[in-house]
Amino acid sequence: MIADHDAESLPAPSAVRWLEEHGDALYAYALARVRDPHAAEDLVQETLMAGLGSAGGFEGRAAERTWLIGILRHKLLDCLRRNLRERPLGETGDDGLEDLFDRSGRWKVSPTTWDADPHVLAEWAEFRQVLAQCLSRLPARMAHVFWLREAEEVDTPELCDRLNVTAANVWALLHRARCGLRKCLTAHWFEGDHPR
Amino acid sequence: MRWTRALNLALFMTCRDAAPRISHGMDRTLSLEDRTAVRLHLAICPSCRRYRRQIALLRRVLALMPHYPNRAGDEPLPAAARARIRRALEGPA
Repeated sequence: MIADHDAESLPAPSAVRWLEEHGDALYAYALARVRDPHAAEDLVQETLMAGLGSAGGFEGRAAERTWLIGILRHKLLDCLRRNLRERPLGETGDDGLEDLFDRSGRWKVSPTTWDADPHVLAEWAEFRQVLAQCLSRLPARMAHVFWLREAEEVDTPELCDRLNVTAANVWALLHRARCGLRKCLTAHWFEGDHPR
Repeated sequence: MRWTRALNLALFMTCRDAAPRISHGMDRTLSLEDRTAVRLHLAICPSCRRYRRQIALLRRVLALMPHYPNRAGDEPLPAAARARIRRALEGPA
């Protein structure tokens, strides 16, 4: 009852304050995924606007950023869906990986043994830098879909639904991302000449 | 019959055929034929076994990362954009 009364007497949630407190975090989150500063700025604005429209959807200040990131995440998925609609992915048969295999279908360069502890790698700043570089060499939307699948653990049916693409497209995209990343990480981390 | 087909598929399966199936197997349930053929191929192909271990490691590492690894570090929201967004939020008062 007291809470209701307080809620009414409080000023409207201030999107300007959100901008001050969370603008940089939202921008960094969006920029890492879309890579285009202008698109990232627009996404921050859309997120804050949407937040204003549904204020009260979060619980307390501590959860505020998480709540805003959640809105941004939806905006990013919409953005990715539009992008995929405007420029559809190639046919699944055209996987662009021919150069990995010789004419008889064997690996041209055989995958090497990656001897590493995932927990150690995930914590290792230098590794994260190399991974960031390797992700940035993939097309933005491929890296984004791969991150959604592997890091945010979104399953394929949900990706298809949210992105409005076929399952075959998603599988092909993920496979290409894996091939690109493993090649890059082999060269720049596992076989590279930096401290390990 | 299915097993004969699977055996055929496996015997003639190249790494080029196996690699996408190994990857797809991480995102969906493969058909019985594909599953069998991939298993048989993996049994005789150390390169594809290493490929499978690499992409599995990649998955585990990414799942453990709290944030998207950012190449340039976290760039702040540019001041001009901040000002523009602020005006848009304050709107026509």
